Amino acid sequence: MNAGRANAARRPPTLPTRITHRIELFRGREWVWLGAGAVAALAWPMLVTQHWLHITNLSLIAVMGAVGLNLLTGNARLVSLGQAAFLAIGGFSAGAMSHHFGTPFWLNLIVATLMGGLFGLIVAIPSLRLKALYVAITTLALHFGVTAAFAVYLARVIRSEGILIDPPQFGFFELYDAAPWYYFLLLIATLVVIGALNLQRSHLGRRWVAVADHEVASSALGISIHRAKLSVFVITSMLVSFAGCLGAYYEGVVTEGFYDLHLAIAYLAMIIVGGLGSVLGSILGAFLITLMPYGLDLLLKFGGVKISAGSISGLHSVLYGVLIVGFMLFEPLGLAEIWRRVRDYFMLWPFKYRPLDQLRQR
Amino acid sequence: MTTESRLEVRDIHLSFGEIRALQGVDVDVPSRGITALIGPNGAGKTALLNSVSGIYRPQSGRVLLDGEDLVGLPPHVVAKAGVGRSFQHLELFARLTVTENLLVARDFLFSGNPVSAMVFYGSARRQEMQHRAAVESIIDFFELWPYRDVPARALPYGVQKLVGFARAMASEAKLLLLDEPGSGLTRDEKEDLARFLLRLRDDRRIPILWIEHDLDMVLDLADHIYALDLGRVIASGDADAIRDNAAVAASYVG
Repeated sequence: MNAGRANAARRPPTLPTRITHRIELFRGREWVWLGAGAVAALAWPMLVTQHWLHITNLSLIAVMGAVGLNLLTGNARLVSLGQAAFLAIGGFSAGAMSHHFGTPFWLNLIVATLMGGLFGLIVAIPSLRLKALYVAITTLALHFGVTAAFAVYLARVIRSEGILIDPPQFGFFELYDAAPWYYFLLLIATLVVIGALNLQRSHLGRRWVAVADHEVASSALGISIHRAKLSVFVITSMLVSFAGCLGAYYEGVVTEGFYDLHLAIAYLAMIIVGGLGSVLGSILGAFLITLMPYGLDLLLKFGGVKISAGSISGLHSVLYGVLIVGFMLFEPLGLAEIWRRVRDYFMLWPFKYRPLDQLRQR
Repeated sequence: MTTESRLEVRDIHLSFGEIRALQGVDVDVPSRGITALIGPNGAGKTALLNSVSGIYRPQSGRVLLDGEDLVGLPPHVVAKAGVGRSFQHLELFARLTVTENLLVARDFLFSGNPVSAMVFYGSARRQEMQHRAAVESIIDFFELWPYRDVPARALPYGVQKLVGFARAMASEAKLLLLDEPGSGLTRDEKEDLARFLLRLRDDRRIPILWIEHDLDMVLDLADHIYALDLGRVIASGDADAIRDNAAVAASYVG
């Protein structure tokens, strides 16, 4: 290996240095796969029952939330237990706006997103001097503060268990049925995913990883640590509250009980199982964790097993635990890495390795 | 000798409680040539570099870069002023590739808001291309072609040191601070390093302040040498002056 570098140094450039080539999100055959995926996604409502379409919609909302959390926790390595709080901030902003002022959907969506950014800023400031585990504590404090505040708000101001939200109106069209919701959420989730992929390949995404990997070195290279941490908190919180607002509109109601710590843990499970720092991982993890309880029910039904509702929810918690521990032990890079291996196996068959000119880290 | 100085360190005092790391150090880095800092462990070499790059804040004294005082500025502002820095202990960004590590050094040259980054079209895309082209020229300079897309954590040790060096100059710095780029390198790698140092001096004409333990290498390459011990400059001059200096010999041999 020692002589290796000396030899390598005398070798001419082995890879083409076409820069356009190197910053594209997708290329070559990947577009074919994407096209096939798009066709399948568009045909999806015609292939499944209302029940499963509903579950798909829940998964699409979870994708947006997971993408936001993964940028914060996967890329910037700031462990957040405040996911449920930021979802609640989005949901309650929309609920309160439409309850008190009767404002339209799009305005509430903007306000909910901005509120997420504001609270992201508030929790970011004490986190500037803190690292991993301590950030988890400050976001946990935010979680309890926010949920307590919303409980008081519901009890004192609304005097009800929750706030009902009317479905979004686009002209004469009301977004109510599962199929239109599906296409709407598919469009928005696609835009969010592309936005997140772009962030990751931009200087901003690199900056967040750099600061997480080495603070002193990144500041000595001209990066303001404070600005980097503030920006990642604010941007990802906005994204999560945006998802929270869409979720509230989809459910048609916001209640305090929905946004419990269990929800925050479920989102962490999504990104760990899916793959930390990977947008694809956020998508796969969001689908897997959202589908899991329904899949489990289906399995029990087919197996002819009858158990009480209480033990089922216990079983769900056990499964989360098993999934997280299992992935940490056997595939720390998550579903995204499994996907990559399977894809490579089929795309390269009958060979095992990529040809040299296609070599790149992804 | 040259007439003007790129960096002037004047009477720097730095202490941590009882420990006095730097006790009135004066160092000049001319705008041409390689200036080396030598001295035994704990002499204050890295402390001096950290005082220049803003990681430590000296209690008194001045650090002038082209006449402007850097003392009290935070590290990222010093970097923007044109000071590139490499570290002794492989402080690369482990999850980023070699190309991305170098791009981070140009981070402050990017403009644009988060929204344009999310859209990644027009100006954001053009900037990315332009900075990647600039980084490619540095990859060429350091002959890092085979490692472009390899994450830093997967690189062999010698290459990691070289990437740290490359990253320091990726920001188009007008002064390079190198903290032991040669430590732990094999003979081959040291020869490469020497070649790069000389090409930086002669082709790119970037002034370098260089910490090195390998005395033979310093005596061969450096144009100006400062020997530090116990937080003080005990000798300075060209290679011949240092070689014959009794104080340097005493601090090294003991």
